[in-house]
Amino acid sequence: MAVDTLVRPVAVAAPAPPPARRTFALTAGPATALAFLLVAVAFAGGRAQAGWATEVYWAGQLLLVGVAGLACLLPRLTPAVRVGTLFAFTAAQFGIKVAYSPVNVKFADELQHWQTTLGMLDADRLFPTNYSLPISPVFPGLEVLTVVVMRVTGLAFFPAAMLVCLASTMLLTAGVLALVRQVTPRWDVVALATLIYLTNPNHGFFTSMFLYTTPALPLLALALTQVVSLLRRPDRPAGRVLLGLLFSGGVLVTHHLTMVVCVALLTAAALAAVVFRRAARALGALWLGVCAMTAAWVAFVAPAAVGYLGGPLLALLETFAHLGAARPGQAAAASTKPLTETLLSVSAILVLGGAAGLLGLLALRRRQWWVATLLIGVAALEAAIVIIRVVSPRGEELAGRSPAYVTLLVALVVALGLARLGVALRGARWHLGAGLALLVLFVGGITAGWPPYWLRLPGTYYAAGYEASVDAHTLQLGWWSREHLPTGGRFLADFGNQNVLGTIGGLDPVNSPVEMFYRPGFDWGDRSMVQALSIRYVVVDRRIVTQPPVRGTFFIGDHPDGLDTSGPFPAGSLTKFDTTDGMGVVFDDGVIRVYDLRNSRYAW
Amino acid sequence: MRGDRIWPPLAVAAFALGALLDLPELRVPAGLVLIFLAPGWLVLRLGRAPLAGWYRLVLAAGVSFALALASLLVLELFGVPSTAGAVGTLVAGLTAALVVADLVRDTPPAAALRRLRSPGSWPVPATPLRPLVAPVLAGVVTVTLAGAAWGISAHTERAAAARSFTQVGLVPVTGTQRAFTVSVTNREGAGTAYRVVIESPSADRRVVPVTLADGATWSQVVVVVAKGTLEVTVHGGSSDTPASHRTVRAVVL
Repeated sequence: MAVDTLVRPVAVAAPAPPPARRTFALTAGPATALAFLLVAVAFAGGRAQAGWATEVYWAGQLLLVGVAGLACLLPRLTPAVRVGTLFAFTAAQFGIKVAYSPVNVKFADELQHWQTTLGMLDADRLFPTNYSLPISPVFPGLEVLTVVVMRVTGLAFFPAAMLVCLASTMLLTAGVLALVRQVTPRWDVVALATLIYLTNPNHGFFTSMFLYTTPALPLLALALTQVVSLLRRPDRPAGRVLLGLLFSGGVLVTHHLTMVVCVALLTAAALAAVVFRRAARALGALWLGVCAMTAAWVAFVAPAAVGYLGGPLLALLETFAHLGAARPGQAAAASTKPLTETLLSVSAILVLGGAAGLLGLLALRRRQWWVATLLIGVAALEAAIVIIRVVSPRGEELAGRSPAYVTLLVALVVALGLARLGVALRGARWHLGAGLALLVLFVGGITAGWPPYWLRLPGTYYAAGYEASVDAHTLQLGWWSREHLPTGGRFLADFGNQNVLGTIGGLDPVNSPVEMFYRPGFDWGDRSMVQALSIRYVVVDRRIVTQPPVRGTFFIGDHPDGLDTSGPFPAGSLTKFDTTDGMGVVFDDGVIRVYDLRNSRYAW
Repeated sequence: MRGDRIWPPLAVAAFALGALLDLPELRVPAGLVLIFLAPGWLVLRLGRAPLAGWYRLVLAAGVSFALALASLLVLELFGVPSTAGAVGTLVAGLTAALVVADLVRDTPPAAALRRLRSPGSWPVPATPLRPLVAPVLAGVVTVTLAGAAWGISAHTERAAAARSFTQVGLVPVTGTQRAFTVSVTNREGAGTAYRVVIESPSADRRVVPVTLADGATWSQVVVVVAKGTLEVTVHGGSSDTPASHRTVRAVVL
């Protein structure tokens, strides 16, 4: 089938009477802002430990998706109203992310990128050392944008970082709209497919954070837009090839995993171009250019990326290699997630895969073979995510990063299917079904995404509990350490303090030797380990003796078999540091103590 | 001159003025436009790409992102430190160069200057005001609600995150074996009086009264003359801590 029939214009319905359109257009913005306000009030309630906070949170979220859903499903709305409401939805989602932590970044990965930014600001150069996330400085796109905003506008780090993230998330929505618009001129389909993307579990929080994924994703969407545009209309390709190279180059210097996805998708597109004899030269040139840039960047700037990405890729391959031997439910058994939340998370994936599969079957019936292939292909991709999630011991982690990429393809292909199959988005039954599907996608996206259910409302301190373990004590210790302790000093700490000291504290964290903490007294084995790993400091946060670890452990890294870490930390095991010969104490704030091992029994 | 041509030079001028006069109200919005929109917009204009308005805007933002990413890489390549002056000059200079290129692209420089000076070139809005009242009101309500949401979040986060505590540190003075800096930082949220007890080997116990404003730090260098343990205990202050005092110590071999 010729690819130039990829877009089949569909007659656009007559515009609605002005009052109905106008009423929705006038109320969509305030209603979206009200939804944001409700969630912000719920967060305030969470900080005050109010019982009503959870109900208000969900009311706000449901109002948010309700308005966006209506903007996609109501007939006869203008493209401007649909698109404007989607941008308002994106802004509200970002606002909710900022309202969660409106003064500082706290998530571990955000702190790691803050460290790279601090290093660049200190030295006025790129590629500083980052002990906590060594790969981050060689993919410095996020930090470059932040430093440029800080230097040009004079803003401090936090507002500059949030502006970069806001611009990135808005550009991502615009990029997805532009990408989907390449396959259909129907704005109702474009808006619906874009909203499907915006409900993916990563979008609400994770890809709005101060992470390198955040600015890389919109550039990926724009690079793909050029690719689809070339496939659709191959004439005069030079400008789009150049833009494709520019956007792919932006992805390349910003995020390793998005770079891999970009090269993989370009490879698939180039192969399709050869098979269909469509824009083969242009896409071949783009593919060659991107591969050359990638090879050069990895070879000369970021050789560590090979090893960094190798581990997760091997784990993924291992998952598929041992599918038969795996024990279903293994991952679920280790998870404390409520069953309803797990079911909602899986339902969201099944609804999306099911919708693509149903459209694929319809395409088969109509003998539209390549549309059917694409639709069934993305349905299979969604099924693979469910399998990885359930079967693999690291399923949550492996499947957790995929929606940002997979949903991009799903949204594009579903839009293509709806357009090619001439599905009219009209009628009460259709609206009810689509509305329910959007609701499941959105709620399932929240339950599958970040933050986890026990962290959904801020305000409660959890020892070693991600953002909830980063408070004034840990942050001020980080700044104190940056000023007073030698940069790169190696240390042991619990999860929260490790994240802060290993980033803004400027120290070098050591993972794994948790036995040294748990042992009731000094041990010669610990001495060997301290010397072998050049550990200088041990950080003890006394709050770990008061509550069990909400993540199942207080520490990062592997734990020895048989060690029970489920309860509060045994107080006696912490006092040994006060009684061991020669232990120095370089810091004490009444809650956290930092011990200096240099002249202690651990060191000689 | 058409409106889509006039705003990039205006953004450069506003940024230059804001930077020269140190006016954040001008520098911040103009700077953001120079980073996230103007360069891409001008590149696409120079490329004469026949694009729909909305799509041009999206691509312009994307190209600007990519150019902003390239800016520090270029500085790094030439070994130029990424100071505020260097980055600001590069970003504004790039847009200014693109503006000039755009001006001279179609017309000779003299004609371009005439166009710039022409008072008739400014677009005159012809929209009647009445239909705008409802959208403007809706916009005001939206911004007010969003502002309230942000205000509530920031206020409650600051209140909930407030902790009363005191940081005590004892670290060796760089390059020495027996000199240590003891520091006390008040994070109690109010002025606080402390009693600092310093016990040094082969020296008398010293008690130092210290009063610190919130956020202030007191520090002193202590030199140890003999082997043993230097111990500093700080009494006073809050709080939400299990211990009534904080103790730091250094072992001198």
